[in-house]
Amino acid sequence: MNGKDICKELKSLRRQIASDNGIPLDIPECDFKGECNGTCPRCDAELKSLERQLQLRNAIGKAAVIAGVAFSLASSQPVFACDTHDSNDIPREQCRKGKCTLSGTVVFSRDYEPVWGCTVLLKQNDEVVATAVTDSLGVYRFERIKKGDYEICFIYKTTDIKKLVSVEERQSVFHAIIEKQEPMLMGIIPVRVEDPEIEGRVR
Amino acid sequence: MEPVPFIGVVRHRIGVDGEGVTTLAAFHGCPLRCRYCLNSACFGPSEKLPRYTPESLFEKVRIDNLYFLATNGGVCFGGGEPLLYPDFIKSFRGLCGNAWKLTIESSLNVPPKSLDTVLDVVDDFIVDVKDLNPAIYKEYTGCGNDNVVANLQRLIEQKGPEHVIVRVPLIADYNTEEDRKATVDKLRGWGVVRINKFEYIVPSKK
Repeated sequence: MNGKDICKELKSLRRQIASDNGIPLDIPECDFKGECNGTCPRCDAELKSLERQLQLRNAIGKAAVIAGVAFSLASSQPVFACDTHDSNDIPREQCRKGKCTLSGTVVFSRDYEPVWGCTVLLKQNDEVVATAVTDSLGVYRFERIKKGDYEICFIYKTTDIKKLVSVEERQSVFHAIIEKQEPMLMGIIPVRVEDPEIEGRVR
Repeated sequence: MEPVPFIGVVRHRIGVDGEGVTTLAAFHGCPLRCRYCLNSACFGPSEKLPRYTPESLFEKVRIDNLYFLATNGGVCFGGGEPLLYPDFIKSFRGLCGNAWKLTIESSLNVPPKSLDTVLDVVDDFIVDVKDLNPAIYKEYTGCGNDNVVANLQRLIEQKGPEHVIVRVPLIADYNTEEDRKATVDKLRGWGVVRINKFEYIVPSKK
């Protein structure tokens, strides 16, 4: 079996796994002409992306189906990757004396893609006790919080979801699924400058 | 655990080390000195060889996790002689869990305790017995084969013949077809059912 044959076999495996799990995966045909070992950085990047997608599905309770068997994939990514910071107005003692951790993943409902940059607020008695922002894997994490009842708010573009959570255990997990929103208009919009003084400077 | 030297880690072997997509992790070091050894790096100097702990090897090979799960593949430990590092292999199983298949390619020419350490954590064994005639074995490898015989019999008994592939080579200038047939007959008498007969490549003489 030469490198091209191996590459073809592995590509077929990736396609099958993606198809079995409803993951859209567009694998372009390889146009590399030289000798290869059967893999390349692009193939490896696809493989990592596929595994990450399956881990996200696991994170929200969906099993990964591989060769017809349901698997629970252990996460290979650190859970602490998110940006966690406190509001400057809240005394640190209020939220930092506990020994519990609350974390979770935020994904879009349509394709379970991670939501990067979702603001997550942890409130108690209507006051914000901690804030976080989800990372590129959609993960957020609050550390050293006290046991108790909280309101957790997920804010992303025009979406604002509030849920009540009870932190009882040392490690609590709460995931959120939000509707994917259409992208906002972006680009270069031509404008006419009416002020003659400015026109003079441009010339 | 201290890092140990490897002569190489090779990804994406298909159908070569048993079923499925496998990664071969070849240890440095071997008790034998086979005349036609293809991996002489395994008993040369090890200073420039890559070194891994069970943790760092796991991090290196885990990229192919989906292929392993999809094809009932996994990691094949070879070398060199992997049973020189039984604790490493046992630790590795602790890291990868039960979903990956672990295979060992070994001569079984190691103390029985080394085999015992890995019996419960390795799925399949591929054993190259060279020749079961002790004189031929000694002439070709430079070592006796008492451990090989004892370990192989215990392996068949403990793991079952379905988990053991025995490779029986025709070795130019050392054994004959008749010798090889005698080895096969002896193996069948011990309950070995998966036997792979093949011929060694003789390195060209300079």
